[in-house]
Amino acid sequence: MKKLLAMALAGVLMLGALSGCGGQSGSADSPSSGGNSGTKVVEVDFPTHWVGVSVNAPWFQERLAAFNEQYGDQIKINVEEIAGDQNYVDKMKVLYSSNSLPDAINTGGYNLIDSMKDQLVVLNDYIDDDFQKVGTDIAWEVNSRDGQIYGIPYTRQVIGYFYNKDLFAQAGIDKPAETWDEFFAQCDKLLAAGITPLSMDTADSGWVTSLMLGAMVGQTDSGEAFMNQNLPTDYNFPEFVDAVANIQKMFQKYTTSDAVGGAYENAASNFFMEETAIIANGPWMVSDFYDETLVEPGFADRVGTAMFPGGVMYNSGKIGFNIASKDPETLEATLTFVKFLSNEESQQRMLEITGDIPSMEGITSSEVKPLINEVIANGDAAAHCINDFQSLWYANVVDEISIQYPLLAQGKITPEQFAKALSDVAAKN
Amino acid sequence: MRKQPAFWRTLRFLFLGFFVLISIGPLLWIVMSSFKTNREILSSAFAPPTSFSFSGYEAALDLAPIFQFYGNSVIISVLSTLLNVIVVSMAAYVLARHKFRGSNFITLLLSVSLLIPTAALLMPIYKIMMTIGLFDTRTGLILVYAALGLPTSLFIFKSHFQSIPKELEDAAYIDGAGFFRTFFVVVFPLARSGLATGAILQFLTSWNEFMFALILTKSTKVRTLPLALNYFTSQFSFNYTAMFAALTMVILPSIIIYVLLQEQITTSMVEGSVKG
Amino acid sequence: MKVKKWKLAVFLLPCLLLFALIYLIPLCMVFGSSFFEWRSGGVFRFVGLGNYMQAFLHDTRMHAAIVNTIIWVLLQSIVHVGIGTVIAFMLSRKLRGWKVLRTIYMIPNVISAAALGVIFLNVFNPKYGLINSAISQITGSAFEKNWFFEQSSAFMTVTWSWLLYTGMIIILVLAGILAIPGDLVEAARIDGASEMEINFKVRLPLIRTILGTSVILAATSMLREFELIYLTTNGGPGETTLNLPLYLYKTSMTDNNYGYANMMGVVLILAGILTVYAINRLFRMNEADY
Repeated sequence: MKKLLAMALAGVLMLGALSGCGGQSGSADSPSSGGNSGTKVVEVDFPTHWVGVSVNAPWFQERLAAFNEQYGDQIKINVEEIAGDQNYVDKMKVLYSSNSLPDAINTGGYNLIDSMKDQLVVLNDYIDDDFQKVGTDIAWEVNSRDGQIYGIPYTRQVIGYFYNKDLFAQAGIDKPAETWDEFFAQCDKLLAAGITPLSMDTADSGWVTSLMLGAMVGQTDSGEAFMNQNLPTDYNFPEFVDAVANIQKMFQKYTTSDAVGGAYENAASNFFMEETAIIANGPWMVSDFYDETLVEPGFADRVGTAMFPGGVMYNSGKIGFNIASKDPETLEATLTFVKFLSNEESQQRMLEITGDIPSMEGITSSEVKPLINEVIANGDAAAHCINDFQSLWYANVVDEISIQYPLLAQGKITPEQFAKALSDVAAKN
Repeated sequence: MRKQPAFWRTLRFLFLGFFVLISIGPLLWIVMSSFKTNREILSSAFAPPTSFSFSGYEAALDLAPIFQFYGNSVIISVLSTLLNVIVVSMAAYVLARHKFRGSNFITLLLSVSLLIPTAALLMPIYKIMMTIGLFDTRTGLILVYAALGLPTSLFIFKSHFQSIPKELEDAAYIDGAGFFRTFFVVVFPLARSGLATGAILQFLTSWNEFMFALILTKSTKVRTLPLALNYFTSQFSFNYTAMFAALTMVILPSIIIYVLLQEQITTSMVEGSVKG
Repeated sequence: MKVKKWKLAVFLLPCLLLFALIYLIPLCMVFGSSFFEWRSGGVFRFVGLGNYMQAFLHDTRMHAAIVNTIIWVLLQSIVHVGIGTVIAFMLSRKLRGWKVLRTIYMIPNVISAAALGVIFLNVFNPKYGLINSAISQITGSAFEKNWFFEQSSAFMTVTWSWLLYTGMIIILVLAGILAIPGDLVEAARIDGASEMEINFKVRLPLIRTILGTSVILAATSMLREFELIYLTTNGGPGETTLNLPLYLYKTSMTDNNYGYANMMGVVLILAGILTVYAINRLFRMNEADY
């Protein structure tokens, strides 16, 4: 009787194993069976995190459908869904160490070039003058190392800050500050009116907080140069330490009690709930200002956007598509696909659907929310253009920020010690 | 059984009650949050929902292929549990009952696998699965999961086999039963509670595993539930309502599966076993 | 009773094959590469004991991580297993609803770490968290302690997120108690032993090996735990809640320093072997009960 049970179990197991194999044969066979009579279909592997709630998901669906309509009989895109940007990067690291990166990669701005360029295709020979127009010089520069192009840009990083006009009016502030002294004076006014001035965070690299930090560093010429430098290792210089000191002041005086330990969601929520007056973030946030599961109706009309004091804006390139195809035929197909996703039409649709700023100059659209156009105009008018820390700094430095901010906020370390901690971690690379 | 004084009973009630509260609290919070809007979740995390709607559930099913992942999770967890229990219990029995040269070394070697960090396993296992053609298959995940629970099951099974009176096996041998028959007919049922415990832990390991599921598969049709939960948060956008709805849909049935499994295994082995 | 060698081999073989398929190559790689400087971008050179020397002589972060890991292993082995065992003994009296309780206590194990992380961050949130709201209600004045992110409370708060969740220990120990032959307990009862005496003098010694197993699993789980820490404090503030597995994860994933990470892997494996060996001796786990 018991033996029977055991046999039955073993039988079920075998059956399961077989059905598992069956499931596999479909996908494993397909790369080799090169399509039907005559026309050969080339397959391109493209993992993407543009799924689920990602703002880019609808854009990608639309462009993929358009691509398939045009090239579907020659090129088949094998899309792998990897939900979550961090999971995406983690998987790329494993594939890199196994020397099996997919044909096309897009991390959404995370820099894989410096750690993986030995397995990425150098693209200089495949980019003609005509195609070069999809990105400004700075956009191509961010995607290049020593003159070798490793990435194809499709979007640009333009970031200022948003403020709540109603709360500003309540505190008697008529326009955004032009210097940091004025900025802090405005913070005091807000406080006096019983309003918490700033949304801040520390988790996941403290995105909102670190944008403020970078903007303060970037207000001098040498600071601006630092904020455009790829993979800096030395943070022990006066502009940086002074900026950190101001961040310390912000944590202690001008922000919410949940800022320390909070993530982007908490910072954003405080701004949405009109509990804080200012948040630093990019234009992709604008669509949330209209989302009534997040904000009160009419909230978007109460939001304004501004340049950081000292004429500073984040205005730079962003890492685009990397390519790691191994044979010429696949490479050609991958290039066709990537070029399609970064062409003028795709960039225009991206601006319209997601609010991401195109890397190509001169793309505009009447369908865009006015606030986004204001952000772009601020970017063009800025005296100092800087790039963001997540794109530039070593991954472990970005990680270190999130565990040092709480100490800084609670006065357990000085700004000098903060700068040293980042330098020490950067030296590990 | 003697009655205990009221004081002790109250104390025990409070003690057990406290743990019930902290165990069930997270689940209740998740279910409650699945009916709140994003704004309500972020502004008043512990207040009840102001209105009642299933829109979070609609959004969750719309955003992520939850049902497909569900089927895969059930198949993979059940089969890896069966594989694990059969394979490991046989080894554990030999290691618990029969001392031979090298048996301690084998125990040690098998236990070491408990301690190899996941980060160090990912790349080699990815390559192995590619080589043997099991990348992107359920079979591959079943094998890996059965192995992930190997040391835990080994410890549990071994200690349970050790606590079975040896006379019962000897009696079986004297009755003329062979080694295999003795194991499957006498020992296996006697260790049922231990086997069930190991099976439950193995099931939960497979059910919740995320990293290998991410690395060892690439097509939606073989993927498992833990991967679905990431469809609701990305760096700058989030839908907490949908996430909690998805969590509810993942957790509630898995509790039911767990209860059924526990009952099933325990009762199916009670019948016809030697009186323990 | 002598059993033919080949029969033992047949029983061991499937398990050994599974082990070899999944673990053998990674195990060799971990040990081998711990003597190399190995980073992304093609850096791979022999450094002998260089990684070990660096870790034990100079890397203060490593020292902090080791101390935290040891504290958590001890807490988990003693307090966590202790609580679970007490609950298991209470449930073993099979009072009304014991099966329901057994299931309820396992619920947190069904919830993924990602979800638990979100829950704990909310419970301990300084602004609207459950704990602070409760304290504010009781004392009548606003209370805004930042449990996870103040140095004084971070370690304790992280510890709460697993110390009290003893579902696994409960079902392990409970299974052990229920497997005890009824006649042994009956005999003691006839001898006039009280229920408490039976628990301590009959049941507890009989589940010795299962208790040992519970301690091994609890202790080694702390040699693997990093996900909940990563999702809540990320090891901070500073190094307050950094443990060895999390440091290993970061060294591998954000420093891209694989040799150094694998050195920590070796340290963890050796620590684990030592732990398992010590617990084996302590609970005399290789001796049969009968």
